[in-house]
Amino acid sequence: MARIILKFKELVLKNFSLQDGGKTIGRAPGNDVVLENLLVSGHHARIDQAGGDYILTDLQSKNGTYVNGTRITTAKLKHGDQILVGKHTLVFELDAAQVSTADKDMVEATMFVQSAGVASGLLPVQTVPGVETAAGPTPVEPPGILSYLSGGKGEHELTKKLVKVGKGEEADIQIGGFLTPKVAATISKRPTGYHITPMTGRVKVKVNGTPVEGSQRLEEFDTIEIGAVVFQFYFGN
Amino acid sequence: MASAASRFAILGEHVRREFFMKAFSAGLTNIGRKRDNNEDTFYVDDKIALYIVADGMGGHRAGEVASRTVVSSVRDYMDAFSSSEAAQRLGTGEVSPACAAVCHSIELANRVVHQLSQDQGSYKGMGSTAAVAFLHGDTLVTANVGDSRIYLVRQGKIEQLTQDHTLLAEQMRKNPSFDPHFSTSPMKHILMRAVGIQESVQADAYEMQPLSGDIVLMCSDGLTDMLSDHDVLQAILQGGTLDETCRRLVTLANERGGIDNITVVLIQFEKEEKGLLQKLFRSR
Repeated sequence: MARIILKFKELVLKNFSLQDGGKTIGRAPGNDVVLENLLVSGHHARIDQAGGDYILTDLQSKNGTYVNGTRITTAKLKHGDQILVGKHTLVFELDAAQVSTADKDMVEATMFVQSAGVASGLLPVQTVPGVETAAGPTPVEPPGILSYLSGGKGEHELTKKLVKVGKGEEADIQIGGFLTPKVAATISKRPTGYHITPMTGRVKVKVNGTPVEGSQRLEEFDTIEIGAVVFQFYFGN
Repeated sequence: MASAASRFAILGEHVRREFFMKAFSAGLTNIGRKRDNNEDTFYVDDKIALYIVADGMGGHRAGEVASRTVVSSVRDYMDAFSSSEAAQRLGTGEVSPACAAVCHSIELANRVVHQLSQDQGSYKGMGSTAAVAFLHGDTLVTANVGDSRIYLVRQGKIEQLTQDHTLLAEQMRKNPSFDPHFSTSPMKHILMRAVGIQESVQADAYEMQPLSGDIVLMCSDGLTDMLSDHDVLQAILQGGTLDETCRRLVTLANERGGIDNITVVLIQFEKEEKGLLQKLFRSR
C-alpha cells in the first residue's frame, strides 16, 4: 500500500495512507494534508491515483512543489521520492511488493484515473470553488461574435457548433444580396478555434480582404466579407 | 430563335445543378508488435456514412468486449437514426439532430458497457475510447471520448478535430506553458474520460462542412504514439488509394516500435452531382 510520510526537517510528523485514492495538500483547512506555513499555498498540490501509479500535480502554487530537488508541474511518484512543499517534506513510499512491480508495463498501458471524489470523470478539484488551479476546470472559451460592419445591424453570437450564413431558410445568419446563395459560408467551432468555409464560388468570401481558399481559422477582429455584407469577428465575455 | 431557346435550356440546367457530398473509406487494424491481443475495433459504413474507432481496455479479453460493444451500440443507434425521419428533426439549439444523435449513441454505448462490467466479474473495470464520424447531408459530425483521434487533412494541412481526454492533454489545456515530454509522460495514457467506466459520460462533438477532396483520419493511440502529426500528414499526402495509405500508416507505426494496437480509418469526401446518371441517359 502506498503512503506519504510527512516530515519537518528530520522529525516525522505523520503518516498518510494513499489506499483510498488521492490526497490534497495545502494551507487551507479542508485539505487532506494541512500544512500551517506561509510558504504553502491554500491549495498547493495534489496526489492522484491512476491505475497502479500516483501522480503528483502542483496546483500552480506560489512557491512551487519540488521532487528530489527539482521543481515540477506534475510527476509520477517513485518509491522514496522526496516531495518538498514549503519547509515540509513528504516522502512517498510503496510496500516492498509494489516496488518490484511498479514502473513495469504501466507506462504503456492505458488506464483510467481513480482519484478521490471523482464523479464527473474530471479531476475533483472542481469541488473547490473559486480556486484557479492547474488541475482546475478548463477555462470556458468565450463565444465568438459576428458584428455587422455594413449590410446589416447588430451582432450574432456563434453559439451553435456549425453556423450557416446565407439567404436560405436553413441559414442561421440570414443575409441578403442578389447573388447570395442559400448557404454562402459556414463557420464551425472546433478544438482549434472558429473556422470559416465558403460554400460556392459565386459569391466571394474574404477575410481581411483576401479571398478564402478552402477554409480559414478566424482570429479576433478579422473582417469577413460575404458579398455585400461585412462582419467583424470578435470574442464575447 | 432555336439556338436562343437551347441556350436558355442550358442556363436552366446549369442553375438547377445540385451537388451532394459523398464519403468513401478504408480501414485497417493491426495488433502491433508488443501486445498479445487486439483490443481495437473499427467500423466503416459508406452507405449511412458512419465511421467508428474504439480502443478497449481491461484485463483478459474484456478490452475487446468493451470496444466491440461500443461499436455495435453506436452502429445500431445511428442505423435507427438514419432510417427515422422523426429522429432527424430532433436537434437542440446548439447542435444539429445528427450531432445530438451521435452524442446519444455514445451515451448509450456507455450504459451498455457499464452494465456489462457490473454484471460479469471478469468484465469489471473494462472501458473503451470512442471516436465517431458521421456525414449527414452536407454536415460532418465528429465526436470522441478518450484518446482515439480524428484528424482533418485539407489542402495539404492537418488539423486535429478532437481533444484527447488524457491527464496530459487536460494539463496542457490548463497550463499551456507545461512542457510535455511526449513519448515518456505517463500522463499521456491516463484517461480522464472513457466509455463504460462510469454510469454516464459526455462526448465532445463538433460539426463542420466537408469540402471535396478532404480526407478525415480516425485512429487509435497506437498510431499517434508512434507518429507525429507531421509524419501522419506526409504519409497521407504520398497519395495512392485509401487502402494503400492505411497500410502505409500501420507499417510505419510498426516500424517505429508498434507498442500498442494500431487502427486507422480513412474517409475521403467527394462532391457528386445529384441525378447525374439520369442526365447522362437523357442526353443520349
